[in-house]
Amino acid sequence: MRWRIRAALAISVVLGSAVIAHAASADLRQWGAQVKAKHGGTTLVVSGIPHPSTEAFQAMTPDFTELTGIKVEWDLIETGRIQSKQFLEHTAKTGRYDVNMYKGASVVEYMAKGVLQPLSPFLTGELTPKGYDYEDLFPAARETLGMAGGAILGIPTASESFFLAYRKDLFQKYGKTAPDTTEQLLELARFFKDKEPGLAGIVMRAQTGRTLALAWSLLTHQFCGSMVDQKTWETTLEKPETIRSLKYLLDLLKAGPIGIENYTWEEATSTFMAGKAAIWFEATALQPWLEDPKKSTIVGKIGYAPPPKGPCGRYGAMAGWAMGIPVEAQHKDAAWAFIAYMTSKELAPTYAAKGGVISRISSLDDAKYVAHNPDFVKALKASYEAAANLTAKGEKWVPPTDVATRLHERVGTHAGNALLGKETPEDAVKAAAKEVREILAKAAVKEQPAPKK
Amino acid sequence: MTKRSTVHGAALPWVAPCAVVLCLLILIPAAFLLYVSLTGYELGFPWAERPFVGMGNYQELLGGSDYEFWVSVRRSVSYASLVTGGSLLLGMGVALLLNATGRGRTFVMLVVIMPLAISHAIGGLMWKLMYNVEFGVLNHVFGILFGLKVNWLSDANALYATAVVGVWMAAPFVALFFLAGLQSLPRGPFEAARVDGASWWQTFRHLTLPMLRPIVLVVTLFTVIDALRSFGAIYLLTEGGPGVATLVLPLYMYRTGFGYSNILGKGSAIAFVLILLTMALAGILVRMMRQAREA
Repeated sequence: MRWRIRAALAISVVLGSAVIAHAASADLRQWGAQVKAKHGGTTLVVSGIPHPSTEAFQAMTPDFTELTGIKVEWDLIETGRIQSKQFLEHTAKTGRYDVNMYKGASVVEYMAKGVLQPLSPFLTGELTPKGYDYEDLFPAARETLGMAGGAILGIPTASESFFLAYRKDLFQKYGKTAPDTTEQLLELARFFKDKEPGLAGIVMRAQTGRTLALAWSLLTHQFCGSMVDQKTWETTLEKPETIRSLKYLLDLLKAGPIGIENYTWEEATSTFMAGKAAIWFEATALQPWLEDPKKSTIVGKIGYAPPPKGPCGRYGAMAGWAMGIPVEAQHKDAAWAFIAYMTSKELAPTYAAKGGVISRISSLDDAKYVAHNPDFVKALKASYEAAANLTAKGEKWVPPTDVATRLHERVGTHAGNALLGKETPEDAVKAAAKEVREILAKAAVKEQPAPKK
Repeated sequence: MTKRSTVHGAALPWVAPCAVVLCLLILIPAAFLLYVSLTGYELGFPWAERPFVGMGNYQELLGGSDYEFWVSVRRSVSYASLVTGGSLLLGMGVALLLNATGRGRTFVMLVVIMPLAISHAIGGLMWKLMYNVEFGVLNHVFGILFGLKVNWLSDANALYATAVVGVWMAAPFVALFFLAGLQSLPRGPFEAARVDGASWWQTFRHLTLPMLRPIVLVVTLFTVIDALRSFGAIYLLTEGGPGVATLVLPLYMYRTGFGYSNILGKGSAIAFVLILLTMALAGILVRMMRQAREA
């Protein structure tokens, strides 16, 4: 009996390996053999955050190890701490990490501090699988998340934008249609507030501090406002249009749940998934959770729409995460093999199927991907277009400077005072503008993005 | 050679190992911290590029141009006062109850010390869930009893809500200390007071409390120091917000030195001020303890 079990196990292992080998194309298998010959047995340490993209990469890791012989250890760090941790390792020159998953919006800071290795030599080298197709990655994501100072420092791994999700069942019940403009969004959020017991009109991240600044910058351009003029690097916080956008945001948040001043994406998403809000304005990357029956109580009742169009147009964010190689990494070639495998065009459908957050144009046209939720994909495309509108203007969602995070932190703190009713919006922007001027004066890098379509 | 220096010389070999360990673990890191606080070093840039700013960081902090620093000092003092006061009262109450209880004391003690066994991170997360406006157990109960939905972590409530968690974490330690103190008190004076017909309050006010005074001071010292350096639970509960409602000094230090700013030089200056503040308070309490002992 025991030998039968052993035989069955052996057969299943062989079959399993065959399936893995069969799943990869001949080119990828050849690439895998080449990598294995040089780097097989290497163990990589990847620093990352808990994220749907990380979960997908972790699910793909056994196949990568099987193909290349490279083992992978993940060091998952809290989102708010990962940057300091990576900077600390860089300063101490520990070489602890071979791959850094980093917040794309901070790529300029990583460049200014010399944390990441330029990737161009790797992209054209033999360790890049055939048909990798760098150009297929979203242009706005390549530019915003992966490039700084004209160099490629990272590959976008989770290209997020922001969009609206709404309760189709409630909208149908009350004869409402999806919001298209900022005016409609505010009107609908107010309409649904307390329409049903415990129902919030809208949920979104609004925690005072940096989080609130990011939420605000989702709406500034819609009103012809901005926080910083990315050509002159003067602050534009005190412009009437920017103040108008802040007032709009504060009005919108009044239609939110009690305690929204403490809401991060996590609270916003869990409240919406619990059916306690009519509209959700959040990151596209979180959408798989909304439709996951293990997490959400509103599966199948959700409609999607791009970010609202304001008096000055429809703009969106290009945010998300990328992966790069620290300059002190001990296994740079193997690290690149890992990044190249995980972000390759051939494996993009696998990545998407495992809940990854897509970064490739071809994924948006992939029939299987579109078929799993056409409404979502339609809204996602429109959100990326809204993000591209900003790039076309020659601006980035997060100002491309090494002090952007600090700048947002200070702006969000003052905007938070306005949210808490401690300052008027006018006073808040005045105080924020003063600090932003001081911060910008100390910036090491202030890039000037060229308008791009 | 005087008798005193002979005694010192004889003690040296015995004290030296401890002094070396103290130097390695406390004085050298503290000196390094002080040095970093005199620079404008930003995490991530090469260490060699640190600008020396002298007292610049301290001038910025203490000169009033950094509004949040003084807010965080006030928050720290308020938080430490609430936690110390709350945990001393609660701890004393629990200790008196345990001291008076005969049967079931072990079980009650196990329940009471449970928060000590829970890490600050887990405790903070647990309370965050309990305080959640939409799904928290507290609002569930309040909803049933009073039809209320309370925003526990609002601008007005957050400091008190975090202090409640601080008390919950500190009170068991305080209770254990007081219980040990109560059990070591001589029985004679209490029996005499009982014979004289003293009430419970009179006994407590004129016998228990004066006799426990050294222990009260030691416990206060520990609790104040612990409350002043509280970080984990507050970070998990509110991250210092909303706004600056719970921005205690350690949180402000983290925000400045790490978090979203990474200005390690100024963060170190805040840390050093925190050390000085804690040492000053500890000094006052130690002097009070000495006076109590002499009295």
